[in-house]
Amino acid sequence: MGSLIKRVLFILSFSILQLSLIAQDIRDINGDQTGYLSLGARNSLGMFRTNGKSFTGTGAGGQFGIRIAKDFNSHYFADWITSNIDNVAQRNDFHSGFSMMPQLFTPKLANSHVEIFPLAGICIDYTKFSITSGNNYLNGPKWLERYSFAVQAGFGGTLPVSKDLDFTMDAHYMLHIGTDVEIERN
Amino acid sequence: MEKKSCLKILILLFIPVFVTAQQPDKPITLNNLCLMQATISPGYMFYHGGLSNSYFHATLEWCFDKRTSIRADGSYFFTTQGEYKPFMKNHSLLLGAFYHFPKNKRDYYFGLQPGAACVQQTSYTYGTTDVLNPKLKVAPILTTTIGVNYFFWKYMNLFLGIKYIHGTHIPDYGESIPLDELRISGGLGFHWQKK
Repeated sequence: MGSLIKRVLFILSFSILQLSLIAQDIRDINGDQTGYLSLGARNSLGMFRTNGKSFTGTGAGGQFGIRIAKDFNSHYFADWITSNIDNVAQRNDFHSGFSMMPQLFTPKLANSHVEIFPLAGICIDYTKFSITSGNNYLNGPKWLERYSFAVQAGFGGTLPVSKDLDFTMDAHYMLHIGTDVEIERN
Repeated sequence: MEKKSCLKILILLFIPVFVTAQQPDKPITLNNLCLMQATISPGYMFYHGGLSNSYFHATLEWCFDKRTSIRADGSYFFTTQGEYKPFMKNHSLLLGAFYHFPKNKRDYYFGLQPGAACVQQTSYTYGTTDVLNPKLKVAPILTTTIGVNYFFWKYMNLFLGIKYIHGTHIPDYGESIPLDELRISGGLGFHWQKK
């Protein structure tokens, strides 16, 4: 059992702003957007190491964002990632947390309004390992689960596609605090 | 005889009038447009040397400005062609955003949609044991779509789209199955524009 899991997540997300359900004024992407709420969907590609080998997983989820200040955005997310570990085990991760995104860099690329930001946040994590090989079929599946929390940090960028749609791509390095679960081959 | 000839000439002379009386093609405006499309969709899955699947595919899309839209897709798995049929179910639900390039009555688009696939394998042999009625499992998937709509009438359109799906089904026992697949959808759709 290790004490930490290190995981890198690449997140692609789409935020749809000012849906008609939300009585917000029309967004001015040149102006102050403090207080704007956005809803979105996201895909995650996760990479992690166990037993000295790297594996990847695919995930999906949703998020909402609140612009806290003119140059400070925040995202609140939930996603779920499944990973195949050498056809020996399956790893399921459920994350729910938030990221704070100060807009420290806003490159002036013509009128593109691209925002580049570092991010940091905290999330809670549920992980379930299921053994998918071995002579365990008749005995029922073998699995282990654990709850933990993680701190994450990374960087990303947001491209406002239109006044109603943002595209964000970011990468997190996620440090899980708590016990680790690893697969060992006999 | 002369009367008939005169009538024919008059009709011929009036044809251009009827032609010019037609309204010129109005370019489509996507703003506040709601689209509904449904079709039978064939899919080519790269697993096991290539599998041909078929689905019922339906979409619901809302364009909230001239260029962007939000769209939900649902696919209901019918069957796999051929003798090897690894899936009983491979349904999927997607939600994502699209960017459009409208031009006259045509609308080219691309989009990204995260989603989930509900997969149930057919019974299979694992080692020396038969796994009967495997559990239905849900797999997260990532999809990208390109396509074109042709708005030939105020309320109807023709559409053609190609979707690439990436995901993995990890069964309780045995090897995982990549869900990577190309699906083609084409047919007739309905749309309605909010004034």
